[in-house]
Amino acid sequence: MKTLPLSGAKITASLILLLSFAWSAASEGPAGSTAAPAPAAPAATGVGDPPLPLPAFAALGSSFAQTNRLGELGWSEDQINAFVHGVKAALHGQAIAMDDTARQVSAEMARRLQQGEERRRQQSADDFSQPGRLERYLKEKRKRYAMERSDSGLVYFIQPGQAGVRPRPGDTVIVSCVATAADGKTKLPQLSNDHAHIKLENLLPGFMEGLQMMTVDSQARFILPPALSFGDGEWPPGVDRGTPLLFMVTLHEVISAESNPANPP
Amino acid sequence: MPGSVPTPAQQAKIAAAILREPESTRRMAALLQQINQSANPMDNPFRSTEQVGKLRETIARTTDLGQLLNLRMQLTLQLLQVGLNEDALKENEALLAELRRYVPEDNKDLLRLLAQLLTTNALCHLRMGEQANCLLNHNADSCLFPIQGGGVHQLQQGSRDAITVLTDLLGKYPGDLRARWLLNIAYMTVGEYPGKVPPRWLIDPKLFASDYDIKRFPDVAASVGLDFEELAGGVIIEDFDNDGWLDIMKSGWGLNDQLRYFHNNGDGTFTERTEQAGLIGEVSGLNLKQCDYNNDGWMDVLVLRGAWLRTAGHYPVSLLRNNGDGTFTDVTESAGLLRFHPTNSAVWFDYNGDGWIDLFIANESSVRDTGACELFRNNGDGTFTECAAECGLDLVGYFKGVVSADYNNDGRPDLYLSAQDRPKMLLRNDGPAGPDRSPRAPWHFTDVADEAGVIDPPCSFSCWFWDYDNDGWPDIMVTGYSVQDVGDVAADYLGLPHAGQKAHLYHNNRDGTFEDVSKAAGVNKLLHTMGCNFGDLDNDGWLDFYVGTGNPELAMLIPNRMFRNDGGRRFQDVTAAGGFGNLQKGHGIAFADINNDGAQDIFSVVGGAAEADTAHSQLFANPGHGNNWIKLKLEGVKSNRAAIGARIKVVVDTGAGEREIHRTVDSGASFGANPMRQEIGLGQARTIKRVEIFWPVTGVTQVVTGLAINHLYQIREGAAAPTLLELRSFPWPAAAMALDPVKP
Repeated sequence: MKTLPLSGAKITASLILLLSFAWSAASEGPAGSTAAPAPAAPAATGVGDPPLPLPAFAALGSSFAQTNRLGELGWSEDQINAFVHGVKAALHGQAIAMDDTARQVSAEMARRLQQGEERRRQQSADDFSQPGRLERYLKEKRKRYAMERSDSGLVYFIQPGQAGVRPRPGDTVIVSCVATAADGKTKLPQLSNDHAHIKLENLLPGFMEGLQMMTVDSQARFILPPALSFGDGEWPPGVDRGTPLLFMVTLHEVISAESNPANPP
Repeated sequence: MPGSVPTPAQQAKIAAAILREPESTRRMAALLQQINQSANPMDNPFRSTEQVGKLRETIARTTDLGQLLNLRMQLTLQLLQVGLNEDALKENEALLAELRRYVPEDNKDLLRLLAQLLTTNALCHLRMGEQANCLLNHNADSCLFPIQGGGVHQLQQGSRDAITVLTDLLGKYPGDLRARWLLNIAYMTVGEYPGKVPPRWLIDPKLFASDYDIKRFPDVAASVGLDFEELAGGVIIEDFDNDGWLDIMKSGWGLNDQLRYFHNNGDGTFTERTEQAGLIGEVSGLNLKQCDYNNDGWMDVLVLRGAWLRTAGHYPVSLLRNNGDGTFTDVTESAGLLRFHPTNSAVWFDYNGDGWIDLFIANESSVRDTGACELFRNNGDGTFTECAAECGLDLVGYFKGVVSADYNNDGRPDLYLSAQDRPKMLLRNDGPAGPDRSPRAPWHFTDVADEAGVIDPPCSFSCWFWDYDNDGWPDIMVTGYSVQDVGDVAADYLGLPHAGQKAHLYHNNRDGTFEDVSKAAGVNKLLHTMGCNFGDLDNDGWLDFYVGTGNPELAMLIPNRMFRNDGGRRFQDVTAAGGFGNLQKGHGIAFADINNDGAQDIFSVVGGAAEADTAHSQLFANPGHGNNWIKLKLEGVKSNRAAIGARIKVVVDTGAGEREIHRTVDSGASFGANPMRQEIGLGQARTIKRVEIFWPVTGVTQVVTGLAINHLYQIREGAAAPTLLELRSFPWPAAAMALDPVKP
């Protein structure tokens, strides 16, 4: 389940699917990686299909390994060969069953991947903990995207919608948002949502402030510095602690506190 | 009506007057007329009369319900812009009734439309009230926020109907800050604010109270013959005929709005001399800037046109040469200034230090209409050469303000540019770009705004250089210009978050960088400024500022704002106390001691962009504050004759020690023009120890002593002694000044 950027205990993390081998079509391997020699003959995918170049399949394999960070697992050459053998066996209809040992290995691999993930996150967070790093980042973003900064430190750009109605504390909003990490590319599905109904006070401080700047149907881009998101509290899994968070937001509707019988004016 | 096409009789009179003018002026008049006539009215969203006709035609043949609804909503707003308020109301109410009849009440889209239509309904009623009272029954208190005394409407039907609609609207949409703001204003207009405003919608009057009780500055425009109801425009206050009295030149942005020249008679009256001055046919123009471009001792005028109109704004500027005999001649073409880009901002500065004043025009480029900024080098023979590209100043952006000062005190004037679509630019003048050091050589400018820390706010309008803390280093003020609706202004007063862009005050750190001191100085406010200027309200030696506010939207009823400089540390909002808070659209502003009594008065052009959004200009008469002053009229010899860019340091003895007061000769902020003569408040200073004038062209600092307080002197560059000029004054009309002051 995905949620909006809620504060405190309402965080619901998306699980990290370790060794899931789910293909991420959008991902690419790092530039400059050295590819091993690949078969040169074309391959066909099926009867009647034009032959496809084998080097492309080799590249797919490399991308697969890099995307899933298999390099961080610390396998020996024999372990790699055994893994490839298992893949081949499954593709040939002779899958090797998971037994207890295999499950233990899987858990160990998951642990190693998680460690790598934590290491990277820590590295990234450390960058923003360096003096002046956050300020430089926000300044650069503000200049590039013509964004304003509020007294609290929220960085924002708002594309006006219908004039008039705007949310106030106590109101419920219907809002959509797409969250990304500080790099502006890494999607944070655990902080994104579509047409969520939510009470203003239950949102992150910067998000709450930004929404009050909006009128119905307006769209906005927010950058929440750490102090206006999770601060010193618990950060959701998969979100780099101490980093700025980016949100693309649409305010669809405001349901006033007064219109709810439970909240008399 | 301003901006509208003249009647045949008026046209005949205009044609006869134009025939008596010099050929070059006649050519400009004909050119302007031809552009107006050949323009496609549908390219200009402010030509509402034509838009109404077109919309009616389109509506008649449209069958798609969605389109029809949209077109009819547009029609309502255009009818309001034309001033057909009752037709607009009728159309809007018909729409409301049809929507209620055909669309289920639980339809969310209907509910949203209802909110818009109800707001339009309220606006129709408010406009009726405004026109019946503030315009047709105008008095000095009209539309002064917070509205009190004579500003309370005599004919209250419009406002009372608006109150009914807005109350209903707020019942449905309590978070509608626009409606809340308008409701409070509507109650003010019927004299029932704050007492009868429902508490949950009340905006506390304390939020509008002044931080300092400056005396009230009565609006005496009507008493002295300067009460005209027009659209947006610019203003110059200057002694055009060198008779010692400051005259007024005023433009209107309507395509047919005549540039007007008012002669100060020196007795409390003004006489319009537009026709005698040979200015008939010089129409349109949102802003004006004066300068003695040919160093003949007579102040000339630049008219800036086409602003906001994008592809429909391809108008020329006009350079009007002052002939020294009460007349002007349009010399745009012969001077080499005939060009056609929309603009409302330009600055005169001697970038190459040759003693001839040059001109930089900041143009408005948009996606489908690019026109780079222009730098016109003065050739010293009455002509100019455009050289922006070779100096790296062919900048592209939607520029709304440009000012000049020597921010780094290196003797070369720099530029600061404000734009709506890009970070601000601080262009450091680096001198000649190559080995050729002659004035005609390519020049080099470097944008150092980022390093200097002066790029905010992202969307801005007016700007100015000034030394607000008298430390001898020019500081920068730039005002934000972006709101969602008038609710942002309400939010700013209420201390709620809003998306409106605020003003920024940058203090010069004297090392090439600036510090944003907006918050500490109390100016990090949503001012939504268009016109602006600065001066010294109480002659305490600290520069104050006044901003004309608003935008073309008729619902954008926000006060113009006045801020008093409290000792170079903070600014105090004195809008209500001084009676400066006109709610209509504020444009060109000038500070000047019009009656020569020593205290600066303020002239403010009020009026909007829409055809019917006319308003009465204001002349705020300074009641005096008992402080001392000196006026200095500088005359350049090696420098440009108007002395633009010369730096003045006045050193006075306060009794408790020395004090420095710094000024730079220019016409002030980007939208409006103060006189070039410097009117300098001295506070309670007892004597002037010396005046130092730094002339950038020669690098010489001229020291002048023996000046007496409360006098006007002419100081010629390099001359051994100043010349004491006679300064006759007249009192403002007693009746106008005796208005019962309304204390906030």
